[in-house]
Amino acid sequence: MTSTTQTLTAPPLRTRAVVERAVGLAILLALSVWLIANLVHAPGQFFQSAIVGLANGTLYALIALGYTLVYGIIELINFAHGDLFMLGTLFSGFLVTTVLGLKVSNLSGWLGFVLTMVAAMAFCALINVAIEFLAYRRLRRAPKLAPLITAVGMSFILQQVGLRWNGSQPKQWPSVLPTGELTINGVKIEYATLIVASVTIALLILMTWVVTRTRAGRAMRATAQDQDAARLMGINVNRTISFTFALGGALAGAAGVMYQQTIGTTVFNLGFQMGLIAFTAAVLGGIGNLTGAVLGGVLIGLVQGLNDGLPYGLGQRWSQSVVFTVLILVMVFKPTGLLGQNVGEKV
Amino acid sequence: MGVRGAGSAAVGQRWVTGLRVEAGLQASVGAIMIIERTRMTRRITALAVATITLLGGAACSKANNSGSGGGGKTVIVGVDLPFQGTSADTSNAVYNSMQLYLDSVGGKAGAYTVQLKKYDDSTAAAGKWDPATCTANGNAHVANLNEVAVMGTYNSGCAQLEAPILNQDPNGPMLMVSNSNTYPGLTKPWAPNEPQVFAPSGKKNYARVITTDDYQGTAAARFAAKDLGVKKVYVLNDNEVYGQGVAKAFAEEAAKQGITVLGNQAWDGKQPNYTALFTSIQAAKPDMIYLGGIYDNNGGQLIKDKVKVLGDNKAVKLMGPDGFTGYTDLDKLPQAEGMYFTFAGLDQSQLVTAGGKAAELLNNYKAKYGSTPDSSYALYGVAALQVILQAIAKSDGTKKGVSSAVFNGAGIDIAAADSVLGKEVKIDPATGDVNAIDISVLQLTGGKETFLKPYPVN
Repeated sequence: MTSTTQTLTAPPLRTRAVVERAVGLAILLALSVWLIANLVHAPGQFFQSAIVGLANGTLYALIALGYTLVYGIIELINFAHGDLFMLGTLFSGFLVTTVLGLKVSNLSGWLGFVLTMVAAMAFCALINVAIEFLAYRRLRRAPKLAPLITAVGMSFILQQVGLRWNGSQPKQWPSVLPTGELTINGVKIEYATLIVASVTIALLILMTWVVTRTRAGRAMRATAQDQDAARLMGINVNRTISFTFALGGALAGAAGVMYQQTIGTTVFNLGFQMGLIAFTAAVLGGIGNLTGAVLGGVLIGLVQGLNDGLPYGLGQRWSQSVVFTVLILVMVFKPTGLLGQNVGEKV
Repeated sequence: MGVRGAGSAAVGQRWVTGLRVEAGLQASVGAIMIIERTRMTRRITALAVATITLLGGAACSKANNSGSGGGGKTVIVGVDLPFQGTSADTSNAVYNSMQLYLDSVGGKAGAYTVQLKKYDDSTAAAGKWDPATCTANGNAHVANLNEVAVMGTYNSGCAQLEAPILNQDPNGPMLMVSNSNTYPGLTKPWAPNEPQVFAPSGKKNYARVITTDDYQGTAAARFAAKDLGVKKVYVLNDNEVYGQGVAKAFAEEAAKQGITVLGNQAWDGKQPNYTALFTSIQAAKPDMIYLGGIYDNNGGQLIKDKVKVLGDNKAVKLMGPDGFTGYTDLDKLPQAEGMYFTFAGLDQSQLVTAGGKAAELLNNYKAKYGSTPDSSYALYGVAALQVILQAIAKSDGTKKGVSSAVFNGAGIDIAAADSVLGKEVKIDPATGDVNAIDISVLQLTGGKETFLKPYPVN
């Protein structure tokens, strides 16, 4: 009897697994055929679009890092993060162009850029810590939905601040970064792209070092695992969480400066769109995982760039749909996200 | 002056009757309050007072309306424009010019005193016209019983929502005259069921003093082919009603003129940048990019990325419709230098050179506000007001009367000597379209939209 029940239950499971794998492989195969077709048809355009996608992707990655840090420690999706990034772009434009009056790339431009980077990181870190202190801390033991809705509310508040600050129309800004480009076999890589990529990689290494090698990082990981146990071990949980928010805010500030300097348009509702994409990137890479966030961000940028720029792409009209289709597919086949395996250490 | 005095006396009298009614009501409210307090709890009293006050208010406004018949009646013209966001400068210029003109004619149309009332169809959050606000405004126009006509809207997409609401006004249809809606379907067959779908009651109520995108797109395509010698063009549209319409008209005529249309694709105003989009366009090697849409949809970024990928506007030409004109931010953008525009009407500079009413009004405007209006739409706003004023003068002062003055009989005809456009303005009672088909071509030089040449299309 037992053997028959086993044979009865086992086959449906196996067929489902087989079908799932077959569908997964078919999608991957179709994707590679599409990519190769484009590559053969127009190699220059392929690499150019990929570079453009990577440039946007590194910006998404910087924002996604902030999302994933905060989620890692208190499991809160901080919806205000995208709008904090928007305030970072406004602050950057305000400081570089309005206050310092820098409009071209030269030595003082570089100094101004570095100063703005530091100031914007401090500015956004301060706002993020204040938000945590005023709004989220009190709700730490409340049901999950309460802090989530508070985060949505904070997002609206920051957006209104941005509306007052920037006005309702998009503003165009000059850049202090060099405007030239490298040309390798006809594929242009802007200096600005290289700067963004190197800043992102440097920040990722710095973050990984902070989280894995420092005392503060160890405290963060302990708090993420079990707040009460961490408190028993003598860790100041409130200070650790504030520190995490400061780190996340600083990343948003850095992303804001990079965005304002490379893309050069600021608008008060930028945070919604960019926040959504960055959140998707964090989920795609496996939320709570630092490398995953960067991978997810770069991947989304790449998908958008290829879709918009390739001869057989669907065009910009379908850009968003393509991104979210990719997200849904990844969630179906790998619910933890691409690198979401090591749930033990979330930060 | 005398007529004006009589008008204000009538208003005063109405106030007095209003006060009397109010005083009477207050007395009765007092009486009821005493009875109530002896019988029921305080909470119910408060409720009753609130209700009665509301009812009293309603009675008062009714009394006002019924008392306002006869000579010297004041009627309101709604001015429905996006007063916030990127189009705010243009909208304020339109409104101020209209007010200036109305003052110059003594605020009268025939026997009626006319007042303008602002309706904002934009929201701060959207930064441009907003569909929900347009619908709400449409209902507000209908609900305001003293309002007999609407000047607006600025955006065709907004007019598509408001025109049917005003058309079905139980006291109407209510007249709507736009100074800037260039979408063809509002008055002529374009997409399926247009224009009937905008007039569900079967009667006409929508007119405009500006010509349409089919002419504008046609003129732009002819200018590109004949004057600029363009061979291959890539068309982008912003996926809105207006943008798609003008892009379609341009692409069709460009093909007829022997220009290869490499593609007609939508750009997404919410994207952070358009480098990848222009990378794909670059492969097709166009001589010109045509932007069918409005600047509000991230147009600044679009132009910057066009220049970044394809080079400046001499190497690969850039052209846009009137949806890119009149924006000071765009004019200041270094990357936009050399961009061509079409404007579906006469340019302000042409009107000034022609002299007459337009020059007079613009001089007055300059004296009052320090500079001439930012947009040529300002004078078209005045032209629309002239149409409305003549309709009011010919009418019995009701919503229905005003719209039938435009769409029945001979219709509206403003003589060249009176017209602020310096030429005869005639509204076709059968369609609501204007007789004047003027297209101007402009170019952005030295941060200013400079008039290049008129481009008549027939």
